Amino acid sequence: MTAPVSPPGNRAARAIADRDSVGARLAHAGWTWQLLALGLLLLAWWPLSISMEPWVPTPLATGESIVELLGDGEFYDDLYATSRRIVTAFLAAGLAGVAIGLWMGLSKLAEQFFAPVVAIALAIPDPVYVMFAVLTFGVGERSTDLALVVAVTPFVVNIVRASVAARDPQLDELARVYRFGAHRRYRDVLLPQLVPALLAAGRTSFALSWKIVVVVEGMSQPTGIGAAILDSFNLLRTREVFAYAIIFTVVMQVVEQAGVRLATRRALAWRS
Amino acid sequence: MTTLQDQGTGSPGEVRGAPAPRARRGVPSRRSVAGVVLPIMSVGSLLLLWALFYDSTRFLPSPGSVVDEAPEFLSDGETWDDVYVSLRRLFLGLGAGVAIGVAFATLMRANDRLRHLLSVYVGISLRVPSTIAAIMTLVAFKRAEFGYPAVIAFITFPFVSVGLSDGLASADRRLDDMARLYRFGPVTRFRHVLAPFAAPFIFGALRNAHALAWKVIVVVEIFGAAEQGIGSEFNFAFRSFLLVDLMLWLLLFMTILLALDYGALRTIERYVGRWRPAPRN
Amino acid sequence: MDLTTASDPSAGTSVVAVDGLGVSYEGTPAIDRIDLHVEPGELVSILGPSGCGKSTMLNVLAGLLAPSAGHVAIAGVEVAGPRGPAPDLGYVFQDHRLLPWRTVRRNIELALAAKGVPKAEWGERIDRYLGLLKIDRFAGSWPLRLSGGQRQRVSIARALAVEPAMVLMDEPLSTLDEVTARSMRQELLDVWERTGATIVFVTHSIREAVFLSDRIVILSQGPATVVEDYRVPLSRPRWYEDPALAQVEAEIVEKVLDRWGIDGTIEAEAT
Repeated sequence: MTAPVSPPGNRAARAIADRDSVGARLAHAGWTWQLLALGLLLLAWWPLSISMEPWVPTPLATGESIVELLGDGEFYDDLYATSRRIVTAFLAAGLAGVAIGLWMGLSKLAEQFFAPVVAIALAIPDPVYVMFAVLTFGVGERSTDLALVVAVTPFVVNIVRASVAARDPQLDELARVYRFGAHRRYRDVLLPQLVPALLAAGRTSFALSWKIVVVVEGMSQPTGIGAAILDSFNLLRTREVFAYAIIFTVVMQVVEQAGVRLATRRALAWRS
Repeated sequence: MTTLQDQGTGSPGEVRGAPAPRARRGVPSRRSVAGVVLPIMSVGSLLLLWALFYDSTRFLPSPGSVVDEAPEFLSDGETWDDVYVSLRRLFLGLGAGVAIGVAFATLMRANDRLRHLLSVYVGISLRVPSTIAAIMTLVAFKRAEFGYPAVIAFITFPFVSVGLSDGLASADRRLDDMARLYRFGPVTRFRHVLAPFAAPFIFGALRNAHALAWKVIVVVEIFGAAEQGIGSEFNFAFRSFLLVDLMLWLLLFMTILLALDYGALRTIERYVGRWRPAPRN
Repeated sequence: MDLTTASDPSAGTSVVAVDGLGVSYEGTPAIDRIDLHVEPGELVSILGPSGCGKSTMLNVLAGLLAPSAGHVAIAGVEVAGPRGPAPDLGYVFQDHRLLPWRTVRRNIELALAAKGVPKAEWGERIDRYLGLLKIDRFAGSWPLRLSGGQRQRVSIARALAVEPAMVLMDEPLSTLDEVTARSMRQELLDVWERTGATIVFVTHSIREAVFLSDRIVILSQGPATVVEDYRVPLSRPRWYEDPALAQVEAEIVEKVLDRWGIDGTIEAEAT
């Protein structure tokens, strides 16, 4: 049972989760409108960039930078490093988040015990996780990965716990009344209802992993997209900053969308 | 999957979940006792872990040293200067975000074409990671002060826009019909029918966005190498290995976050919603 | 009480004068033809099956919809839809439609302000009409803390407080439970007699119509026409369980059974 009073950290979590779900809903505004909107954006960008030269790169310069990057080996090294971290975090945070979230969703005691911990965890800003990790384990891959996993997990916990809480209690009752054996109860009643929770967990885990990885890398790593962005930022190579940002966001969104569509279709086949 | 309308964006008097078992008069129910004891136990166990194991980590400070330095830290004027700077940036940003969000929602309601067009921008804002948005904005505004509220506004406005849009869409035409029948003028209709209806939606969205904004402002201040602000203090403490300071700033940050949320926002929200019937259990 | 059928259609004195009203949406007629006159102080019920065009007619009377044919005048002022002058009426909805975020008093004040009633009169008027509906002690309450019946009383008080030429009531008691509705019906009659208001009351309950009204205007199935303008042959005070009332109800049921068919929502109440 979710408490009616929700701590601010949880709300941030919900806010972040919402950004994804609502963003997905809004994506289908039709190709023509999307192009038109982007076109207008470009049109506004151009004069702005000229008047604010050299701080805002012109669309042209950014475009050039994008092409350059796509041809640069180092970019792909960075991309690989970042992707590896994302996958690690996605799996680790996913598993941990699902485990804790399920426990919290199914057991009221667990819920009451862990709720404040989750709330606190969500209220801690991501860079602070990196800071503590570095202070504890020194600079290195271990602290980066750890910080990322610890930062992402509470979000996954939250979404799993909410999804589990949202399941239909009447089906549980049905199973009890008709005396389904425990095995059957789990397999036919509980598990299918947990599937949306698992999907949500996967989606959230991936989405947040690729977003937070930028913060984490920027603060503690020499390699990776986050580090590259921060480097370019500090060296005032603005067109590169924009270029990295655009490429990375686009690539990740594409992967996320594809992944979501694939997983949803297969797993929710029974819902049709 | 949760939607923006779940929990706290204005469903009148609804309580989710199973009703609590009714306590016998004078005797707290088992669940309510557990509800108080367990959270205390869990926070307590965190503190316990900290006290027991700080030693074995490389650089975590002892709880004792943190408590020792706290009074000096809190009475230092500079501490509060930094807090004020971050607060100002945050609230300017939130204010702008609300204004933009309301504007978007109204425009999108008025005109179908605008709705399609503007929804793309809302979508972009939701999909760009806040860190990247932060960096791009900082770059664009040459790390000027303006950049900080701008990032917050950019992050916040889609929440308000979507929350308000959803709310307005669910708005019953019936009260509006009544207002028209009784010949309420457009100003009266806005003030007494539309605005009070929309307020809880805006507030709900704001609460969510507010929590997110605090996380973002810290990131922005760190990456922007701001000279003032809570983020800058985190950064300084980190780079100078001042662990006790880091811990103190973290605790202060979380306290402010909680105080604003529970203190200010919830109080205002309760005032705005005082006409609602008590939730039935 | 005068038992002659149909009132004198002298348009000069009628509060409501509907002549040859027809309404069509994009070629589809919703109302075929309605003629209706209501004299000052009358309580007239409109009875019709669902989908017959009652709501359309209400919208026209309220000035929200322009007639496609014919004329509608309220208190002598021609009502011609949203572009024309606002008709002088009070409206009681099926659901109370009180602003939940304003107190009872404030709700009525807003209606008075919109009508142009001077502020100095507000206090007295509100007290008077709330008192009439026996809810003066709730003047400072939030609507959602009141019961359904109490909210409807506020809604009626609001309609009366603006002191309109006519009060239009759209199935106001249909959402209430039967016990509350019964006592409300009686109180409504008391209020009507005390204020001398002109009331047009839409209902789908035949017994309710027979109990309350001087005349019942029976509509056909859509597109609507007036089947009969029936004067209720019972003297007042009336008694809900009166067998004579049940008989009148049975007569009306007979009349409408073949006009409306089984699909029309006829509510002949079991005793």
